Amino acid sequence: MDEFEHYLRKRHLAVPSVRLDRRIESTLAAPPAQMQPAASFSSALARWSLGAGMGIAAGVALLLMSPRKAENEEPIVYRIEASSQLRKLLISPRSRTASQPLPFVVRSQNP
Amino acid sequence: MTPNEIEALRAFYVDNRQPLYTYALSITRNREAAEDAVAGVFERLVSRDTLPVDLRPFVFRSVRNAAYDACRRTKVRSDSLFASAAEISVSAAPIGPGEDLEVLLRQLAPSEREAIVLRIYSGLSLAEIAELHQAPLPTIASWYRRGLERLRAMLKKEL
Repeated sequence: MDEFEHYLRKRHLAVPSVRLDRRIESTLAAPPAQMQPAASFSSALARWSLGAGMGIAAGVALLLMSPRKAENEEPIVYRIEASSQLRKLLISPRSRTASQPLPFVVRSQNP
Repeated sequence: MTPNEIEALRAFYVDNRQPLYTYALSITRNREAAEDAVAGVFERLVSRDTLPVDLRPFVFRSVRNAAYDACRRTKVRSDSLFASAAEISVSAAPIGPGEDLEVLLRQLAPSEREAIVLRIYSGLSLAEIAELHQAPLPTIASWYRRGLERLRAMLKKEL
């Protein structure tokens, strides 16, 4: 280090306050790492419990709201009757003379 | 972190409080923000499981990052790196306050200024500064030498 560097080094620097020393000392005296596992464990447990509770509640709500099928539910019957050209095709040959076409019936449990 | 590591950290702070503060202050130019940057780094350090192996460059790098972060939040940035005349006792003042030097330092490129502050006022070796900046040693040496030459020329002109 030459003379000029020594000259620069002689300048008086601003010094940190006592407040910083106290702050560091309090940080080192009660390191959060030692307290964190308990705190983080309890908060994690609370979060997991809350999440699980909400999940169960949502499941129950979905079950209650879902449409339940009645056991003796009547099948839905669709009656389709063509009105124009298709009408002739739907008329059975046996009933060619009949003026009314046979209805085309679909029975379904699932609309 | 073990009690031994806490003790090591305490000893590290005692040895490096002034260099760390000076470095942070050179970036923030605000005493309070500089102290916040240093304190914040130690708060984060103690929350780690273990101390980093390369503690000194790690802490200086962390202080650098914290100080630059603080710059974005700090509106008033006018504090000097050097003690004011009022802070220097007459008997302990073979050389005057550094207001003039502060002004000249501000005229250097940031890389040159930082190299000078770290080498002269924080006492880091050029190799440590290179590690901190993650830059090649010749680059750091070049910043430092060029900054010194410019500073010397400016001081001559002042005198």
